[in-house]
Amino acid sequence: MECRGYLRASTKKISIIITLSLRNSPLLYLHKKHYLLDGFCSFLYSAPMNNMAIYKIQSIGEKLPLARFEKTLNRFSKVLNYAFKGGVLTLGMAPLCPGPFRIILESGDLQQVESLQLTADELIINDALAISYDESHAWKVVEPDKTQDFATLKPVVKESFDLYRQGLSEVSMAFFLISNAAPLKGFDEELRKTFQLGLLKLEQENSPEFVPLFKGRGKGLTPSGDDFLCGYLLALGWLEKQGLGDFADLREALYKAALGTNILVNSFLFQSYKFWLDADWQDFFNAFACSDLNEVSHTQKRILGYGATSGADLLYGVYMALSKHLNLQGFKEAG
Amino acid sequence: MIKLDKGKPKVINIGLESFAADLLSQGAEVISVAWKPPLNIDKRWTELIERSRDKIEAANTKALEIINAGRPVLVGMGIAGDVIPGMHKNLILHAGPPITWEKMCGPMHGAIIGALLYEGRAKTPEEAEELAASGTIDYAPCHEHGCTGPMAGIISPSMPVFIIKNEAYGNYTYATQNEGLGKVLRYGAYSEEVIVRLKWMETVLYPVLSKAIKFLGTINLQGLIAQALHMGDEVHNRNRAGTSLLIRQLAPAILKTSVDAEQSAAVLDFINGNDHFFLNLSMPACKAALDPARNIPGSSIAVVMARNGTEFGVQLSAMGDRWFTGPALVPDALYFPGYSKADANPDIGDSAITETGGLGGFAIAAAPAIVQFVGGTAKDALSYTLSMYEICFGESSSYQIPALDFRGTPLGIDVVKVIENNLSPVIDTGVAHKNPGVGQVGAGVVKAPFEPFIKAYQALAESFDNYKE
Amino acid sequence: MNTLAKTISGKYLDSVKLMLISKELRSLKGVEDAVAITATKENKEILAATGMLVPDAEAASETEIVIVIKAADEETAKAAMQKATSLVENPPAPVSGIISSEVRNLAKAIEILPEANLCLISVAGKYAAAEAEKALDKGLHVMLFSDNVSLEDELALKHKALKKGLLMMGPDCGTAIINGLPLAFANNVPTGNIGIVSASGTGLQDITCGIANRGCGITQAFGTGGRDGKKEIGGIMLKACLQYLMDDTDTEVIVLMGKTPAPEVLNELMRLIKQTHKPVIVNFLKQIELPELPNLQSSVSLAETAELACQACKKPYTEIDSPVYKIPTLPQNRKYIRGLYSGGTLCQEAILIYKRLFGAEPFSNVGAKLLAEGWHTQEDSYIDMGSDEFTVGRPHPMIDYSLRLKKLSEEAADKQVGVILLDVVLGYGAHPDPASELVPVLQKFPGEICIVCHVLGTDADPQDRQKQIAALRECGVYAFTSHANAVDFSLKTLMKNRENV
Repeated sequence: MECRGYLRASTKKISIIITLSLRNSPLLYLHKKHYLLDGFCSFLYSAPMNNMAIYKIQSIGEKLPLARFEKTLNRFSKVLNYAFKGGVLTLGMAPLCPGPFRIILESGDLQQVESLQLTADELIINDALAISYDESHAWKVVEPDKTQDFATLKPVVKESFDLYRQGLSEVSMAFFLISNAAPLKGFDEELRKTFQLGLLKLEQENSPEFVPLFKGRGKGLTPSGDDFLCGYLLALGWLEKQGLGDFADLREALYKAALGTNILVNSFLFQSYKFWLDADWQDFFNAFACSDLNEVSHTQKRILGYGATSGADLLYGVYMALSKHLNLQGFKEAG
Repeated sequence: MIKLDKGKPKVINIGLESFAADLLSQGAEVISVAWKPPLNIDKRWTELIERSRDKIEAANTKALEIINAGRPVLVGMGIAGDVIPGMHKNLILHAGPPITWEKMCGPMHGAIIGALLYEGRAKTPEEAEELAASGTIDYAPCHEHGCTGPMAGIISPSMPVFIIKNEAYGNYTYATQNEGLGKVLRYGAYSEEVIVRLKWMETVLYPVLSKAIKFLGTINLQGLIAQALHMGDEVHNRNRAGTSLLIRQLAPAILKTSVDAEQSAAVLDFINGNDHFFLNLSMPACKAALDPARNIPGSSIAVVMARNGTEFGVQLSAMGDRWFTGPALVPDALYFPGYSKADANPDIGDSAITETGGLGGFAIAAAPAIVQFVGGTAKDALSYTLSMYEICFGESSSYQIPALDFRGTPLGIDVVKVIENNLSPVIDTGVAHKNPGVGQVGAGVVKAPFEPFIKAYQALAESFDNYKE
Repeated sequence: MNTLAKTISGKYLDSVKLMLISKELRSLKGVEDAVAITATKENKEILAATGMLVPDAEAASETEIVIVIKAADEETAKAAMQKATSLVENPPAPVSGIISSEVRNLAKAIEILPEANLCLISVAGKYAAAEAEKALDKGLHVMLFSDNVSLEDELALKHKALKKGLLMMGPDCGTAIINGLPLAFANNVPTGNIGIVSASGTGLQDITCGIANRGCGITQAFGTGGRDGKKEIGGIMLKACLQYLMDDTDTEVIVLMGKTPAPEVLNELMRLIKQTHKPVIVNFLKQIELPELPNLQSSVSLAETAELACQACKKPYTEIDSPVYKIPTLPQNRKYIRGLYSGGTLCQEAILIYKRLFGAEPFSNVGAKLLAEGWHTQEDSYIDMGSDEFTVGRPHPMIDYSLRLKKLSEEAADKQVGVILLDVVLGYGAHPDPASELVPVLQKFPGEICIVCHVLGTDADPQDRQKQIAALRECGVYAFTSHANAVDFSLKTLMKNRENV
């Protein structure tokens, strides 16, 4: 058994942080104003109580640098984003899916996490709590599965698009564009016009000229248009890996045209361009590869749950790319 | 003399939440009541009900036993005019409580015009409208003829209907074949495509299905509904699993009995393309189970909730065929982009029979997908269902909620509990545009209005006054 | 058409939340369009195309979120923006537990907590009696915080309670401490041997705190509601609670307080007191003739009542902390005093002391010499801001300081005002940090004005009494922990400066 203790004082409160690691047992992290140290057993016993969390690592993405991360870009209840040179680290709680730039915790309390430091075998939280990890936690980028039967691919894409349309949030870009019912006004109407023009351009030309009509536009913390472009890049990457075309130049041109000043967006664009997939996306594309509509629909639902509309907008980009480059008809008609 | 036990008081807090929070912060035991102002109910009625509790309890126990013992199965199909009791050539059935042509809402008008065109009783919509208003045509609620109809719920004599039998009690119910989404009669559309589709449903869909069902003998609807609930349906607003399960039974039979492969394919395509196809079976299945529980003296259980787009009607087990009505409300639903509450028709359709039968909004915890569609969370779905246990007399013995550890769905809306808990039934419904033929403009989990329940409560209370001991 | 924009930042942004906010804003009447978007160059183009690119939106940086609202008029736009801000800062609480939404009535609550023995009711007056009746029927003691309950209902409830041996505290009972548990507006007071029954809420708070601050403690602090001593109610609860304390073996000293009861009620109370040997201290808020009883003492001062009760305990107790301040000298023209109270009983006591000193009542909204419209102070004036005219449709001034702060600033701006007297009530139910409201306003006051403050509370209260006092003193407030001392100091300051003229 190993026990390390730290005493930290700040202007607001004094906190005692103790880490305790037992073989094969989770790490404990205590953080409380007045805590009586009356024996380790009581820690274990009271583990589920407030102000105390057990931190367990599920996965650490292989593309993350061994570095210290302290500048949070944004902080949600289940996700923290940190900027670093060359990308964004996402610290999240399971069931958020693993990814090459993600650290996923099985348990813990994100609200208490300030700084992170990644070493070759430890993740150190708030300079106080060290959690060891090994190869088994590493999340690695793997090549997507090869499509088994190209004949069934198209109908599966079409059907999954139908499913997609049915579950759309009313504020997503696709909903604006697909539903012909809505007389919009003001900002939404302007946005729709721009996106429509963008789609038209996208269909007519094989160049990145449509990018400016999406880039930086739309709602959400990552604008809908940027999500769309990420999705488009992802799908091009996949098609290429399936041997369905050589899009290397187009992908690079799109990526460069899409880059802007938002670190979060740029990081997602980079990841999409590199085709370093998060687990959900890997499952999604692999489900296409074996024409398993059930699995497609299942992973699609998970992706649709991203943000308010991010998932929907990403998927719309994917479908628009697949539609164009697989020569599928009927992707824009009313639902 | 005041008697006060030692020890910190254990507190029930009714009102300001902050008081409860303060007490909690001191480590006291507190329960907060989510209090709402009570309904304005005559004290005399409350006393009458209070006096008759035992009788109500016994009657409700019996009613619930009957409902739970029901075994609705699909036994066949027929033409409305031939099979529906009391149907005649000048009769048109509609959703909800009784209503005159003048008082009907836009979608119902449109649907009746469509039905008259379909019947060949008029050549143009104008002619149909004239005929509809002339007094030649009689109107009656579906529910008074053993039927249920979604939205406008129009049934005219030539329409094919499903025939459902409650095998435990031998009673029958009927419903038309669901037309799908878009421009359809039940939303009041009567354009040519609508009539053409209805004709196709009569000449192709009906014979093919009819033969297939005959080949199968019966289809156990209760079993299908129970399975559909485990697969994410609540069989009112979501019928995707139910429809799929139905196809699994029908498809082989269709292939075996139909001579025309083109037609078989068209029929299967049609059902496959319509997630709501099963709704027109889940509704009459619920009605078939509920009808035998009518006319039990003293029972405060609702056997019908139905809306005609103008009024919301309730029938009570103890009160025979009497309708208790109040204005139907415009639902506070989630509207599709471009539409708002101003475009919506007041609540319409017999589909609330599913809630009356312990399904729909009452079983929404089984269908989290639908909650997302109507702007809520899976947790909301659980709360909706949990809250409905508080106004139901019992639980279903056939239909279960996986998320509640396979607890039976809340069943048997008890009017007394609705009033005492000041909690009205939730209905998981679509919303129709107020103009004929526009179609669905929104969906949501809506609350039934209190007025019909208050009237039913009053009538029940007064019925006890008559039996002076 | 009016367009407003505001950049929001901070780490608690969440796109789902943003979406809900813009949806909610659009549903407001008079709002034409509302968006919450990342202020990218491209989104700004779209804003410009729809006439929504106001300078504030233009100024937002590429990575910031900006809320833009377009409304029919400026007021609507401002209101919507305020709403947006509060939604960002205080997002709607997540649907709390299923448990709480399941408990819709008393019966269900009892099912879950069968050992419950007290019901605290604070629903609107017209429903309150019915709820209280149900609670009594279920065998629960009742504390009825609600007011606007009819005298008939009060009488019926109290009769019913008495028959069942239950407490029926209230209506309009704001304070009680039962077996050590403070209820509604009450303070953290140690257990001891003094039992109190009071028809006045703030009075009960001040006396219990006075006892606690002298190192003594209480057995019970019963509230009866202000009307119990009236002829119509006949002092039912005053008598019942007094009897309880007389019989209670833990209680050695009894305090009885409230507005002077009706003569017949007073007689009956005196008859009861005669039957006990326990010392009884009464405070009826004004000097009245009382029978000579060996165990009866009377006082009209809240501080003295607490002091007498502690003396009667016959145990050592600590003197109350009484700071010695030098009486300030005010400019000649600043010759009037203004009292701005949140506690009604405290306000009355202040008026009483003033009258004793000057022989005439000051202006007030509660005494004999009424202010015009209750609000427009003149000469020496005292306002009870907890009275109905100020509390209809808004929280009590003990919780919500906004109205009092406004009035404070007005008084300070009046060049004739030399002394402002106010109370700061701590404890459960009260504002979580009154100093944080008062200090920013008081700091702006001219130094030549004398602010005297009575801080009602104990050191065990959640607000941290010492911190509150220190913060107030830091900005020049003459803070006291005894109301009598505060009033005394305020009047001495007034007199001394008037003599100087």
